[in-house]
Amino acid sequence: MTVALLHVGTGRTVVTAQGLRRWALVLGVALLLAAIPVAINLWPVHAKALDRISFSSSQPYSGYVQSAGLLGLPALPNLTQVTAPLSGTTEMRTWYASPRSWRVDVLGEGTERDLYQTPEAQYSWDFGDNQLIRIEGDQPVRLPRAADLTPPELVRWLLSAAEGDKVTGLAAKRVAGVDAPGLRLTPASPDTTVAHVDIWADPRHGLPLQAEITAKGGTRPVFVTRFLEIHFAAPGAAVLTPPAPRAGIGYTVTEAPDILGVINRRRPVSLPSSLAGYPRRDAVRGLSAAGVYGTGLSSFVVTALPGRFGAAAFGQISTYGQDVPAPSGSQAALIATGLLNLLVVRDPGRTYLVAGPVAPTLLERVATALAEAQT
Amino acid sequence: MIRVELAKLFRRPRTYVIAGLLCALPLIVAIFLATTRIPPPPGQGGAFLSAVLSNGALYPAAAMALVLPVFLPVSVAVLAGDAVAGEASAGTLRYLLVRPVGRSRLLVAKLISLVVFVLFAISAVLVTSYLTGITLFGASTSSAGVALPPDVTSLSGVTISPAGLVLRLLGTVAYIVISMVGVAAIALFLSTVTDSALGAAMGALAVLVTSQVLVTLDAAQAIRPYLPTRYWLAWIDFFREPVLWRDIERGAGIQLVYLVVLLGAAWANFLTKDVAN
Repeated sequence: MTVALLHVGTGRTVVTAQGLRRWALVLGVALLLAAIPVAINLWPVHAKALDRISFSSSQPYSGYVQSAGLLGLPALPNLTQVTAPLSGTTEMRTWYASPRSWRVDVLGEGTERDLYQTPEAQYSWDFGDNQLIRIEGDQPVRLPRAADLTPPELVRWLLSAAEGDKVTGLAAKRVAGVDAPGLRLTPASPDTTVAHVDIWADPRHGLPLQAEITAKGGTRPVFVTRFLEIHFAAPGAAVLTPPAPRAGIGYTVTEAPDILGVINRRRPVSLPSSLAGYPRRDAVRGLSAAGVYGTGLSSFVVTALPGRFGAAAFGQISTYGQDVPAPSGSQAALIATGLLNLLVVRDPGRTYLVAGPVAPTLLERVATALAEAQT
Repeated sequence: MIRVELAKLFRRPRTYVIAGLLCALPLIVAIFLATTRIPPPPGQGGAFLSAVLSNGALYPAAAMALVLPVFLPVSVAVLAGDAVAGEASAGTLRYLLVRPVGRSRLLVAKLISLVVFVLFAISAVLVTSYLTGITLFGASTSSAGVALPPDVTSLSGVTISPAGLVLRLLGTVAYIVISMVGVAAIALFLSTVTDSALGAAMGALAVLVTSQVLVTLDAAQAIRPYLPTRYWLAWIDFFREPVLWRDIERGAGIQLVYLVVLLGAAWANFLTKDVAN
């Protein structure tokens, strides 16, 4: 304690000087540790801009995907697995060996929903429901699901839809530790809500690593999907083998795993050959429940819903959305999210659900056309 | 020094009271679940709770999910907050330091005794909840007449063998201990700042509650990876197949950072602190 009495300079003691040195050391360590993630982010990226990204579906990979949507859709009956990935953050693990052999796990806190593609069939496992489902045969129509939102799947779909759209280069970016060159896709159609789609891909394998969709009038993307981790090795066979059915877990075999598949099998409907100036695209064999109108990023899907489910969907959409003028005898409501817009048209006979990345004004014309087609 | 602290830990009745309370919560939940057999809807309520009705051997994991978010950190914060400040307010810190005891060594001894407490409490919860699980939710009896736990379903649907389950539970214990060491470091630092044990514990809890709130807030996404509670539930990933190491590694890393920085701060503050009372 005597050292504390020896004044060094102006009022500072040896003890306080020691204390200051200790605090400086602690602060230095703290700063160093805090700087690690910043340094990783700021590490300069060297990658040539690509003129063309060859997206191949033969490249095996495994990784960890995070998708984040800001669409703010309400939970619709039987459709929560569609709306949830668009309105929140979804974490996925994915293993991909070939188009006929892959697995995507949707991770939740204390739960997991897995989808396996094997050469024979698809399997879905839901830990919460303790249920294993074998999905047999082609699915001519199905609802979008989280597995469609991994960067490779989403970009494959976007590019197949984007014929004749403008493509420009983007600055390279570090995604999951890979220096990924980027490109921007700007749709030409005036009716789409999509302003542009930004894609970053691995330069060696051409695998899309990040995709961002920005809506018209928006400054930041409303939907982002990206790899947080990526490995380009082929996954092992064990990881791609679905759990075997056994006592203690539920097991069913089905050909129609979701509501759209059920509608498709039960009630064939006739939809108009064109709506609001958009022709109906050639129907897929086996598809009768839904019609796709328009092309590329300005296309929309029309489904006729059965009575009870239609009433519930209409109730939910008209609660959260706004009413749309419709010819007398029918009602229509619209939920506009900026990117994906939902329209429901109800007349005494039938309920139609229309969804797509198209402008509300176009959907209002569709509402009138659908109501008139019915009468 | 460490032996003295450990002896003190196990001599005090409060250690056993806290461990008993921690064990009681899963027991109460198990009794309600076993008598009513109403599981929480999947995806809601505690993790694994809807699965334990068919899978008694998974109950230790469900019990961890019950005690981890609130009960365990509260008890760690109270004990760690009391570690230095308690001695100071009881007037014993002075005498403790008058004995030729290095202050750094005292801090490390306090931390080690906290780690031992967490290990003790978690082991108690594991053992009691395992016994609860197989008595209340059933176990299959093998041909030899020995009660064996049934094969446990992992989150990915594949079965986990009993040996695999033991390994995963050990991993869980290790991970939770590391997570609680972060809490202990926060409370221990505050305990060297104030002489009020209650104030230190409250301060640590305030940090944890703030962190828990920010973790659920999408707007705070930018700072989420740095929050002490962000990866607390990552031990659940031990029960996926294959084990998802990503969050476990990050969680252990962030706790280590908190430990280094806050233990360093406690050390810097405590070494030159005037111990007046």
